[in-house]
Amino acid sequence: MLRGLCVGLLVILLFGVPGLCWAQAPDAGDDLFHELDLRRVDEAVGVLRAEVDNALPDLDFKSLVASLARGELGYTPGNLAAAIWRYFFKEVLASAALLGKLVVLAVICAVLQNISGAFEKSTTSRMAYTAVYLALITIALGSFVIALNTGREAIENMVVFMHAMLPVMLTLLCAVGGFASAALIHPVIVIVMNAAANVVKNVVFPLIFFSAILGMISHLATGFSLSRLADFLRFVGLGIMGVLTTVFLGVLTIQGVASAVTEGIAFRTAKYASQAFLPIVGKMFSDAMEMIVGSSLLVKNAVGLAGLVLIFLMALFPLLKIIVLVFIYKLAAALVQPLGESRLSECLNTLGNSIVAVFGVVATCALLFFFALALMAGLGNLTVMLR
Amino acid sequence: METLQSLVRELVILVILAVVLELLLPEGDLRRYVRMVLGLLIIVAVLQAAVSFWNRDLAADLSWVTLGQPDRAGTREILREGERLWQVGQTRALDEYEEGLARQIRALAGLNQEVPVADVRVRLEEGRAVGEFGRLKEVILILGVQHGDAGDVPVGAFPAAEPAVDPQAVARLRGLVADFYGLTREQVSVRY
Repeated sequence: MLRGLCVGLLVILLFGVPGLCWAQAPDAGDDLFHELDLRRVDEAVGVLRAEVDNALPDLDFKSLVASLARGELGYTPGNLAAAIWRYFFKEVLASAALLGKLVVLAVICAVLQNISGAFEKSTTSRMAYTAVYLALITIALGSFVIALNTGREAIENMVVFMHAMLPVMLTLLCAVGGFASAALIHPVIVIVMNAAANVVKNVVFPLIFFSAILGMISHLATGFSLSRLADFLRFVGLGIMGVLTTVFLGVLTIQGVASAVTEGIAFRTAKYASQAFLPIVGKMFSDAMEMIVGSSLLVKNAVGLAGLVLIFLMALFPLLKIIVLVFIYKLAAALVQPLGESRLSECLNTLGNSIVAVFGVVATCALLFFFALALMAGLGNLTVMLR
Repeated sequence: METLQSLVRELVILVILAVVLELLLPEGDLRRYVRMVLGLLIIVAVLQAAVSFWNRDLAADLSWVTLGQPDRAGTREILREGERLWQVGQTRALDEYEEGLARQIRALAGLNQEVPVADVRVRLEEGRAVGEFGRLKEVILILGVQHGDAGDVPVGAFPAAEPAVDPQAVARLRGLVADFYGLTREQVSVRY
């Protein structure tokens, strides 16, 4: 069902957001764009700018909208790929110290485990092993918390950006005549968006965190495992995320399509009325109105597309940070395994999997916001198309 | 989440206790019994958390989900701003329409060789009622010799002296325009 919804929304996005070109009505488009209050959006973009200034210089909402309206993105795929690679490499270098610490502690653990026979009582080396293991867990949990906070911050930034974009998008939706859609969809989008962000921050992330703690601690005592409980908590967390995604997309799709149809019928009536009641010139009048609505639609699509690009960038860089940590933990687990210390290797691998779950949750949230914005961008097109 | 947090804390303490006991206890069956007791303690901890979760008022606990809900004022503000932009668009559409209509009437009047029409002004209905908005209210034919871009010449800027035109020809032109656009004769006026 979820896949079906995603495909449906993608179809709306691909066919609903037409090729952008301001050339049709340049003055009308320019005038409308300058009428918009974009201060809050600029502030939200400022946070992203501070984050990725080195990777993507000159990131500005207005110029992005203007370049999208001209049919350009402003960044070539090569530039973007180079920026992503630079950012990834920088993060890997920043996390190299963590990798070093993990490997050194693992080596100490392996040595203590292997030389336990050399002590008069093996308890001494086991005690030392436990102490080193706990130190390793502490370090690993510290970096896990960093990953979690990165994800939380990314979601908060996206929510702030969405809150800034919503009034602009809905105002533009009204400008193409979608008053009922805007009135209906504003509270719904705000409710589902806030609820999704609150549930992710207060339920899903803590569940993944607890799962990671239990997963790591279960490797501490031999024959006393809590890994199933850890798996259960992660399953519940990701299950909640799945339900949330389905509800979010379901509500948005039904709401969006229903309001667009209502609006489309209302407008068809208005258009018919202008042609029927205005003799001879009714067609000319409705053509003039269509031209103005068309130019407003282009502005709305350009703003919506710029929003989509920015949501993508807002998610991309934190996700890169998180994926670097996954990379580090998986690499550390791979390096530790040949030392013969399977428990440590498993522990690091479990932590890597938990960070993958965080990655998945943040990516899903970004996708939800992306779809919400795409739906709002496509909604005006559907309204105008139905006329 | 506090319940789950305290459960995880208890479980971590139990596991660390198990490790310590494993270190302290001698090899033998005693270890197995201790492990079983700790396993039972874990089950008790989990059940205790489940029961305490069950007894809570879930509706009250879930109030945080609805934090940050929209106020109606926000929606109203968006609609007001959208209405303003819509009006700007409508006014612009009306201007375009008015210009096109004036051009069309000028072309129609130009077919009549007897009366020289220098410019045409139209007045449209601006009321928002369906069927009213955009309705042609009045057509003003400005007679005289056309000077370049007639659109820039204000009404009344022409010489007060009327050009020598046949009043009947003017009446015929008024009738033609009125009939063509479904207006009354009074709605088509002529100025010099």
